[in-house]
Amino acid sequence: MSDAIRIGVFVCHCGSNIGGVVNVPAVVEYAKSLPLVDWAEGNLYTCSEDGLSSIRARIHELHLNRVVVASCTPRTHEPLFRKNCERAGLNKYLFEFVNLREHCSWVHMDKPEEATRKAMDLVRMGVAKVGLLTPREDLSSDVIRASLVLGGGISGLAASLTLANQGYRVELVEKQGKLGGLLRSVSRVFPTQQLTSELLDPMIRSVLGHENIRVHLGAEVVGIKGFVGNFEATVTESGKSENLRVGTIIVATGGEPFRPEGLLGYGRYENVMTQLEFEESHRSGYSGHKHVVIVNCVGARIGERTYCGRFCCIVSMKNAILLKEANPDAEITVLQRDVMACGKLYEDYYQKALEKGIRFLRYSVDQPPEVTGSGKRAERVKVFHTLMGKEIGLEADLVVLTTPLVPGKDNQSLAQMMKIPLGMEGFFLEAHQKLRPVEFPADGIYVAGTARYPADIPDCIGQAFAAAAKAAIPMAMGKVVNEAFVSEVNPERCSSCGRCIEVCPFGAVDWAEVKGPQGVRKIARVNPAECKGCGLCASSCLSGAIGLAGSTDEQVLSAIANLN
Amino acid sequence: MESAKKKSKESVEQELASGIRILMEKNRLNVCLDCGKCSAVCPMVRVYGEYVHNRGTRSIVERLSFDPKGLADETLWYCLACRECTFFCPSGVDFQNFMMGFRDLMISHGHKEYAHFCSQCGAYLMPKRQLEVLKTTMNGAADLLYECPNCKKNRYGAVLFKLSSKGRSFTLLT
Amino acid sequence: MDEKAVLIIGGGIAGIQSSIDLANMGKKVYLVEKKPSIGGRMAQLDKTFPTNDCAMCILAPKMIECANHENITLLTYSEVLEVQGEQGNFRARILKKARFVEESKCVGCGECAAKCPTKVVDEFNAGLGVRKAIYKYFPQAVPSTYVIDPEHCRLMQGKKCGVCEKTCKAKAINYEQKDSEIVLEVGAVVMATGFDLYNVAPLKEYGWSTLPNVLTAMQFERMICASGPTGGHLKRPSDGKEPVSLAFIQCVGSRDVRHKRYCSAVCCMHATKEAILAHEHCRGLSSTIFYMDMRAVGKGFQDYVRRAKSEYSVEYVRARPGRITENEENHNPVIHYEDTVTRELKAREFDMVVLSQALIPSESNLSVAGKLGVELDEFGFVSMTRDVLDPFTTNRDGIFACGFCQSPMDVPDSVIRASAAASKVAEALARGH
Repeated sequence: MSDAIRIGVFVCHCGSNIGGVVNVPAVVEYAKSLPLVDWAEGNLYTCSEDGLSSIRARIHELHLNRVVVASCTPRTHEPLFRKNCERAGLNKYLFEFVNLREHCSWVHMDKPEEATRKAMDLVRMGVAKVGLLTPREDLSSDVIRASLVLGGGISGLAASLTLANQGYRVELVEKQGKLGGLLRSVSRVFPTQQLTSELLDPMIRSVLGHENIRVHLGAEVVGIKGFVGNFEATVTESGKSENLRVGTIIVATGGEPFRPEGLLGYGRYENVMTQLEFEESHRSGYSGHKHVVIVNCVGARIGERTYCGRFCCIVSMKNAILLKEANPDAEITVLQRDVMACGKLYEDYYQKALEKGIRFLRYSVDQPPEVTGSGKRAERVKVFHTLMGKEIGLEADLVVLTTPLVPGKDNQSLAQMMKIPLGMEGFFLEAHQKLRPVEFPADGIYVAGTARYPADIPDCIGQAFAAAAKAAIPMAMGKVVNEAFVSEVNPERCSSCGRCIEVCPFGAVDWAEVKGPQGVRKIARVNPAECKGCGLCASSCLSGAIGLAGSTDEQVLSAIANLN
Repeated sequence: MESAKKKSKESVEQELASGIRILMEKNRLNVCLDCGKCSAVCPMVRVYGEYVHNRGTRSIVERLSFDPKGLADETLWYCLACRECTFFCPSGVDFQNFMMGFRDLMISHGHKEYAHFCSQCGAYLMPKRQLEVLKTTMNGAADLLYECPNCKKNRYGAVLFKLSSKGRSFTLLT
Repeated sequence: MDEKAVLIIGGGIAGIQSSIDLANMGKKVYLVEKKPSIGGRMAQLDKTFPTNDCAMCILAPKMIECANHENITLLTYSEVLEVQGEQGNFRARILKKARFVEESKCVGCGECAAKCPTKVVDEFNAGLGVRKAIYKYFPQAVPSTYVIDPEHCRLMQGKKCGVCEKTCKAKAINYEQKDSEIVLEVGAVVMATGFDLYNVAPLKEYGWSTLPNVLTAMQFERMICASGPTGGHLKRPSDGKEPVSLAFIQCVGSRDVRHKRYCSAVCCMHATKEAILAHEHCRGLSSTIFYMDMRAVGKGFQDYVRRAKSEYSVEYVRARPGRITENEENHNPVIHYEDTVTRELKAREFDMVVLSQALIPSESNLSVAGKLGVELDEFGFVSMTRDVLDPFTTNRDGIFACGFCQSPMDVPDSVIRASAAASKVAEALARGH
């Protein structure tokens, strides 16, 4: 009795995401006819409280010992359904997820009949596989209560401080000889227009003076091994190498200013410069200008770099206001392609700039402005004013180009070092754009600030604190629990070829020595705490010695055999 | 003698330009975001029968931001000063108030060609353009368009006074 | 554990995220929400930009995590009465309003609502649908317990009824249930009270509430949502027909000195999203978005707008319309605008018009802030001017704020700031206060 498999199948309508294409009641009826299926039902939203409690109720009433949910993607709901089974007293690894949404209804929206047949096939495969699953237990490992923060700009500083204040040890690694990052080149911050140093210096002092923070200046990370709770980072500092052992990592390595070489006279005329260069060259004051033209969206929102720099419109406003305040009779004109003054503070700041008499003229991406001059000085800017419908010429003794931040040069190497992804533009790519904006798919590593995407100071600080909160979770609990679907090596079949060790992207497989009848030999062994269950090792093993729990050869082949 | 006259013409234009700048600031023309709501609510098209962008609020504001005195042409004399644009402007530009002040300034600095004045006392009544439109719509009552309210009041006041002195009781509203 | 608990006021995505982070750190959390269910505004959305994820699909797991987390106590249909004390030692009195349905017995089957004779205009569906006097706030509500609206329930208004009690097989109805008060001792408080929708009826030039086929963005969102009042079908209110041409008007009430001066930050993106979704629903449908600045500043947002133009038949016209009139024969709204790029005055007829209404601080902001002694700015948002380097601590130590109640922001920013507030709370609690 206890060995008999009793499967429950729950098919979700997902509102009309699935039900609008797939004939769910028909799939439910079909599921009932499958071998070993004791129960099948349809739910409007299986993930809702109603659906989950229904599953639990059936497990209890009918003594189900295998559960199949046919709904959306395991990526969001697998943990939810597994936990639900656990709540009902069923080992959570006796659960199989069938994707009827991304794998069926969403990709066959205009073929409802065939989609329904496919849904039935998918359910049949899932039912075949679930019968072969065996109960498994999760693994837990200890977490070192220290964090490695890469980058000592505003994001890194903020993250370090909050973690240190919460009682965790912080190793802050900064490539430059000083802390502060890009903000060191910015003289005043918007919209308060206070001196950056007023903000940054006290923060730097707090970090340097905090007993929980060890600052490594002029230092670089050259290698990272390990997994959440147990990372080992090799850092070189003034020629010496040190191994830092930490539990979590926060990537706050920042972005870089863009140099618009060849655009709008940059590099040719000495009075054409970027906003940062303007700040650096005007530290002693802004007076002495009569005609200033600021050009926004230089190198942003174009074919080769489609993203928006997010806060550079506000930079242009800030510097325009500072220039106008120092030169009240000057003509200050900003050429723009949409003014991104979102929210309440920035819209008011935009008003302030307009009230001071700064003009904002709209141009189009197809008709960029032209900067002309004589010798090494730019003198005029010609632009087609989109809203007046004609070309206008502006005198200019200073041309400032507003450019976006671009991904940091080290992003590629850091991404490879830590096996974290980069997005298409080259910034670090978070796990989920809406709900996991400062995390990576790999546990224990987080991102904050302009390493992720252009961000203003409140954004950077928010992300830094958020990444710190995420890092604090495993460190507060002192333990992490790892999923049981990991790879396992069958020592009898391992031929010691080493292929699996090479292909593992997480470095989770290594050599181990075993004693056999012929003496000691080396075979492969998987560290279950580092294994992410990707299955590369299993598919590359020629001897069939590695199996991925939850997707063993037997389980997968059985599903395939049930395809037709 | 000639050079003295020229000089004063230049200084007149300077005065006009700075006067316009002050008016622009006072009425917040700087904060115009070019959204076009004013043009969309302006009844001008119904009055003149056609929409010409140059005559509209937005165009005037835009051109003024480049050359405050360069509008001594017809385009600024079409506005009806009805205040719809000011009412609806999301940025708080008071174009109607600006326009009234702007016209006064233009007239006092010698730009009278497009304006229509009272036949009795010479006060500014309305743009010539509006006079033409009103003449065609008011038919017989068109003679009301040639005197300013004060002069009209004086004329009617005299008539009423005459009538009252014949023994009828009228309350003189002077 | 000697560490004090945390009170989080507001159960939208920000409040939920903050609760989960703090609970995962091992802190005890009380999440208070005035509506019968957590979920907030995100629960009313169909999909979210720029990923076009189904909003409920990504929200529901978080709501359930909140409900099931051993460290989180959900207090829904509850309001804050009073908060005394200071950082490390707050004493909060919470009013738990009577649902007249026993939470422990109700299984959420819905039989009661099916039989209830009284229909009420549905607030969750932005006034587009009806609910009953006994209702679940929305189908995926957490908790899934039903609630009786005493203002509309026949029995509670003195008339004869009691149908729900007779129908309920779980015997969960209890007309005698009373409001109750709970006192909580907490070390820190987080405000996450979110936003409301500006009433755009005063903008008579746009005819909302007088012209039948002019809707607000939230109404459109509910209409296009599969679990909404029309089952996800776009239906013109005047004749029920599916629209073929849609217009979106941005900044209705926002960026307007006569209404709200500020920019509501998310409307450029949600209008683009709605136009994309509309085209997905009906391939023949095309949309025109009337805007001033297309504020697509976040990650992936510019690409989203490009795709809308190139793949989803969305046209962007730079204009702020002056008026909407109506073609009286077919009730088609007619938009009068000046195309600021071509400088032509136009009047265009559309099948349906959607107004991107301004988003304002929720009315709870005012009352909750008053009880906490938290300063609000002139618009009613929580004032965060205390320290540029810490935009999460309010003027009162130990009281933090995150999400839209601070400033207009989208879901990723709200989630980030919610976690950030959790960090600050953890700091405060670690200080031993």
